[in-house]
Amino acid sequence: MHFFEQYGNLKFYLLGAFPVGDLGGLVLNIILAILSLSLSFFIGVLLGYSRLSRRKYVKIPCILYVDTIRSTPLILILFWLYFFLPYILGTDVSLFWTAVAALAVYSSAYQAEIVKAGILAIPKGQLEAALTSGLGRYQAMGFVILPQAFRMMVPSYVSFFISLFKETSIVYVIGVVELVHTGVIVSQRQPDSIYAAYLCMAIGFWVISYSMSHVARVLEQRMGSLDYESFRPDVSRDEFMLLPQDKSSSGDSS
Amino acid sequence: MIKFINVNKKFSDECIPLKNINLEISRGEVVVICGPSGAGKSTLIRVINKLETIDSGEIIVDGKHLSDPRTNLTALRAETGMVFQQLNLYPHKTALKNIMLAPMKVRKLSKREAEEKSMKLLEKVGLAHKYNSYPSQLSGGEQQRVAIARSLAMEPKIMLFDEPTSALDPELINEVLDVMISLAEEGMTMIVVTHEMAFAQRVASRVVFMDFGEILEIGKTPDIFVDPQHHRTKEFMSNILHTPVFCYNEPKNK
Amino acid sequence: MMVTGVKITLLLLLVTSITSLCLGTVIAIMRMSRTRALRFFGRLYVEIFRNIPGLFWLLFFYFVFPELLPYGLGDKLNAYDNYPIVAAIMGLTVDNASYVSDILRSGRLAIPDSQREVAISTGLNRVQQYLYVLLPQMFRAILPPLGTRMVHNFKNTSLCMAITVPELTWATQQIESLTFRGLEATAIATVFYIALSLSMVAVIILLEKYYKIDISSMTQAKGR
Repeated sequence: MHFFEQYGNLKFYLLGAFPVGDLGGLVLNIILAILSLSLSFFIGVLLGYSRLSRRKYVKIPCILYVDTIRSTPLILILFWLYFFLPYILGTDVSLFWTAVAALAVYSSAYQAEIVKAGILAIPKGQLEAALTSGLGRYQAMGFVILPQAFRMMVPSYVSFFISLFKETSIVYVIGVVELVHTGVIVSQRQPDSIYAAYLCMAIGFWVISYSMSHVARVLEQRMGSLDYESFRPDVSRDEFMLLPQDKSSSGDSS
Repeated sequence: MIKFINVNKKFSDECIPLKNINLEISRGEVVVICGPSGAGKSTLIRVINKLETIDSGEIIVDGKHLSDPRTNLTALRAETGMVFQQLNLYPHKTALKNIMLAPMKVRKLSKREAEEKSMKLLEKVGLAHKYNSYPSQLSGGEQQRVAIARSLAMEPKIMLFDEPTSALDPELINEVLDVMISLAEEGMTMIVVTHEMAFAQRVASRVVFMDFGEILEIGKTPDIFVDPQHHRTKEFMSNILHTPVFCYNEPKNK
Repeated sequence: MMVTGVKITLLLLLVTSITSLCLGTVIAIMRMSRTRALRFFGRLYVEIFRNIPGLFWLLFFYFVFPELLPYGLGDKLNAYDNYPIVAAIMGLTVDNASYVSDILRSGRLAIPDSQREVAISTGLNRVQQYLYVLLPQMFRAILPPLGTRMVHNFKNTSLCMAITVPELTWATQQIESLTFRGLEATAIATVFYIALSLSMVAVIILLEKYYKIDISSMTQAKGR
């Protein structure tokens, strides 16, 4: 077993060639996940919110965007941006930022679903109460619905973060030296230590993912979870939430 | 027919659903069990079916000892019909198919025989015209009537009812009770957990009052209403007999 | 090249859907079994495979798995032309099965206990309970999440390009490096993925509609 000899490579698994060269390894996976999730947060909220809009010209493009992204493999999104980002921006884009951009595009669509599910999970009595107490529609959304919705979204966000963290390994295919790539390089340079290299990769992902999913489970038990993964046609309550004037209890079904 | 000898069951020190139960029920008797919630009424009839086990004591059903490993439990269960508080028809089957399932699979009746039999039973509970409806298309009362028919299809020797009307809206209760009354008049051995005292007065041969897992009082039907002995029974009766159902039936008693 | 790519992608989708469903069912049964050891191993499986990305398992089965086999069996595997596809099927299966088993288990938990009790009290035995009462309801309850998982699995077949499986995504990159017409190829591939994903979703929704009566009554039965 060459596992313990991998100790010398530990820095590479965790940080890559960092102080000398580029950042890499497990930390890069985490950074990619956090960065892309936070960059796409506002887009996600906006998309999720507009998906529920009653105006067709707002709603339909959002649905198109979200469903298109959600039915395209992440790898292809990665390739598209790899081709197109330099065209659009007019300069070369580093692999790192290409990866971040692709993951951000990808996660924006899923976040839109989380936000939508979160808003729909708030009982409509809340909106009615806010409106009758004299708040405007956007005030009601901003002060009453969204704060509650965000609280409900937290567990879903954590579990989405876990899956995004695992998906970051895909940037391996465009040559970003994250944990999987590190392991593959090590195992190719030192064929003897192939088991050890794969074991290190597995442990790296497992530790982070397992501890996060523990957090997710606790949060879920405390706050419940939302169904954001499944593709579903929009339900009638959407109409209710954002309609311009009152037409309450139209699509009522308990 | 059914005999409880020193039956005990204990979940924890605070929760003792059955404490020293001695009770004998003979063929053709209708016994109503009443008492406050958490008194162990449901447990008392669930152990007859061995849906729950007991810690000590002996239950003899139709001459067979429940604790005897040689007793064919499935056969015994098939001869004991049970109707639950929850509406639990099989949601993926129509009313007719709900009734047909057990006779076909357990009694090995042919499809045609089972169908004929089931239609007869549906007629008996007055729902022959609804044979092709799914449970979701039936009202709560109708669902319970089909559930009764479903138990009857196995030609049980004993029928157990676990608060069959307490999940129903008030206006639906009587249709279920009517079916149960006609069943009692045909001479079925029945044990009924219920708070419908009008029903008890009309058909019950004895009423058992339970609290904290103990049988506090067993009385012949009119006596226990007119002159309860135990102070807990008095309290309970005076609470429950203030319901309009009783007032409606009062003249009959006096 | 694109046509073979499509064929192989479809092959991967079909085979891994079936294998992962089978493996997932086995794991789910283990996790709900009465035997402690079986429950433990089922749980262990899910915890291991769910927390490590699918790409890792593909690489593992491609690079490491043949090395683990004794008596030169691995060399034979490596020499086998289609080994990448075999590795891809194994990798996708073990990854997907962990999710499938979770979905099946949650489906079982979604059915109210009283359904089983009724089945018992009418005298059905354990196999009959599952066959006629529990499984049909489980199937309806898990239809949407299971369908979504299968779409995920379909998208994951694109990862197999990393282990040189000549599937659709790999083909687009090949075309790019050979003819520099990768953009067209990628566009076609994207449209293909979107079209197939959405039609899978459409099938799920249709199935759901078909069984709608039952699902609505299930929630009612649960709510009461």
